[in-house]
Amino acid sequence: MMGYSSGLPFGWDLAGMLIGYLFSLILFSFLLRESFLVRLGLYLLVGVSLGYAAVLAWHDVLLPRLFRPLFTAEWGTLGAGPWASPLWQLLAPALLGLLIWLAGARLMLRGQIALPGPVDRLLAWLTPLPLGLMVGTGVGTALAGSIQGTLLPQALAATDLATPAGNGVLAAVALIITTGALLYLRLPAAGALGLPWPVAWLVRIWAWIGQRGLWLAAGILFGQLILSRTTLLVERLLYFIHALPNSGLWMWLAALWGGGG
Amino acid sequence: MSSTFGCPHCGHSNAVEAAFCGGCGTNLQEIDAALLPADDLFPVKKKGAESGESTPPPADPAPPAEPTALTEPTAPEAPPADPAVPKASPPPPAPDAPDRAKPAPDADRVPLPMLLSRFQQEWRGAVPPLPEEALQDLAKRAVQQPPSPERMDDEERRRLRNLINEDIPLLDLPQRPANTQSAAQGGELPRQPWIGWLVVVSLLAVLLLGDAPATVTVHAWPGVEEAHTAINQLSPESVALINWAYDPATAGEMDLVALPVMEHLIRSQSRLVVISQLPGGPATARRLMARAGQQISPQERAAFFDSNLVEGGFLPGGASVLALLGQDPATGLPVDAQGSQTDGRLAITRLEQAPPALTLVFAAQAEGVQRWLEQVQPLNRTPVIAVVSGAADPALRPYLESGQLAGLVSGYSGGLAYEQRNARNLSRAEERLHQQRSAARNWLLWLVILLALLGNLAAHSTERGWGGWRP
Repeated sequence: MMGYSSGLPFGWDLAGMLIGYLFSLILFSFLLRESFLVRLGLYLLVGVSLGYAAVLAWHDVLLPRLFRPLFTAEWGTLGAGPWASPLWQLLAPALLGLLIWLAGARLMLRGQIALPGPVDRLLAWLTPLPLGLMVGTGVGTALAGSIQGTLLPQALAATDLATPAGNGVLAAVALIITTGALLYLRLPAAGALGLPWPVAWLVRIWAWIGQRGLWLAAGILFGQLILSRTTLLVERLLYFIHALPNSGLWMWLAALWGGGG
Repeated sequence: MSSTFGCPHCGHSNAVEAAFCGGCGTNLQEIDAALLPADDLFPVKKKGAESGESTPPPADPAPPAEPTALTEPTAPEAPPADPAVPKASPPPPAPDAPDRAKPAPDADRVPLPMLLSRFQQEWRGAVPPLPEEALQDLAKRAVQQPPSPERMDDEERRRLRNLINEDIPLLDLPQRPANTQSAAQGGELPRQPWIGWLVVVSLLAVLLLGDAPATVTVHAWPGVEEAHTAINQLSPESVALINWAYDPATAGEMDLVALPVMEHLIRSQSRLVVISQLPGGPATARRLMARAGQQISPQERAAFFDSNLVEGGFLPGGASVLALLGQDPATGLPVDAQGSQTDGRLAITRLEQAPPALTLVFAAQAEGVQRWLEQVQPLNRTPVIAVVSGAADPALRPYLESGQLAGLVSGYSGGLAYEQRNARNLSRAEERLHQQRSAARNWLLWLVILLALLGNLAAHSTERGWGGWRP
């Protein structure tokens, strides 16, 4: 069997196709009306997705990267070869993960199970730590990334006449619209500065241009989104038209019909 | 305690400022005030506020008890702070009585300025602010609105729903006059189910009966040729890293873009390491590679799947892990389920000494590519090719212009342009599919433009008092 295939025998592939076809039709029946079947389809979609994600997290991450090395390795070092891990590299995430789990359990069971006071206070003090660590790391990483990957390179490219982005006319238009959009979004603050009327008039015109720039950008984004969703809809309808005829189901039915006849 | 009102869909008691129902998720902003009785728009005022005092904060910060449907929380009110201040109004009704069961007199309502202020302060930024005149007019009409028979039907449905404790489909409700009223103010237009039917039925007709064009003309935007050239320059021994950032939800469009690129990559005989930060990503990648493998010779297919493909698997952790991937790919990349020393693992480990020759990001959203360009590329300086949906194109084109992207293949037209550069002979079935897609997309785009024009015309006509336009 080919390395990358479903790995399932033909009958299971066909069953999967039929189930997918059926649920696609069920979800499309929303056009008729919202019904129990539509909700069933939605609930199943969400439930199966969450269940699959949980199994994948256990199978691909927690088991091979945390629990198996944690329970099979010798003290001092865990794992073998060039990717040997000191013990703390496994214990620290395990402890933090446990605290997040306890935070969730404490939240869900509040009012139902009364924990002893000291335990509850200890949990209340400890459980924000991993959450704070996660949020802080995420925000810090995103901020540094946006500076090093978007803000600086884009600013440098916009001022580099050798690049298409730094081309004279394009760069000037981009500069006017960008600053105009900024002025438009912050105009109330600018108006409160008590600027002399010629400057205030200029600022208003600039902001007016920025507002139109924002409209234009929103229109382009929306147009591209429509194009994208159009393709999705056409593909789904083509699936309805071609999936069953190409599935081999007819061969099965013909064989059954011939055998029966 | 905050004022509440019942959701017209499920009856769940929501705070006045809530944008969505906490019970069923209904968009409460769409509720038309004209349909609601006065006590829905203006909930019963608290005792303290009634006597001109501010309501003292609750002494216990513990979460309030479960509110009963359609009622205010039943906790007794705190006594006034200053007993010397006389009460100017009669005693309020019993706090445990349902709001809807008794018509609230005008004196028992939140003052309009307070309500307007709340609307403007708490919804600012989330929705366009309503003009005060419109709100005042809305409030006047809501007060004058007599209870309608439809309202009684809703009440009966809710009682029945509570009895059997399950959802009852409410879509057979007669179309509410609410939206029409709202449209008369130039707001939202009523939902027109026939539009969905028109789109689907006409599209099916075009796909089944339409006369598809014999040849499909493709407009290739900048970036496709560059992507093709970059993959052409890959040597058979080099390693290409693929970040798979789409899943089955958007595979309908993304497969069309990714398939010709993947075919080209397989033919280049370079080693591919595939990772994904989405749970459904690895399975989607497997399915597409199987499809791409069907387009090449059996020898090429065997060579690719046996020795040139490394499944990196699921990589959770978001942007933080991507930063680690840029610094130390051997630690950042996931291992196989057994954690053993596989060929793939060695290939991943080698990335630490020699970064990949090329990185490809297959993403349905622009953020998938942006995160890579922000977290990984500044660290390993590897050229990046983005293979994305049409919706992501405008946000990513500046990165191509600035040179951060080595190539950009976007949307169905981008995939088609790339396929033409592959110069593979298409089968008749594939050609027929392309023709059907093009005909259907063209038809649908004209239909969308027409509907947008008609919708705007209808909105303007109702706003200007031309009588509106309804089919």
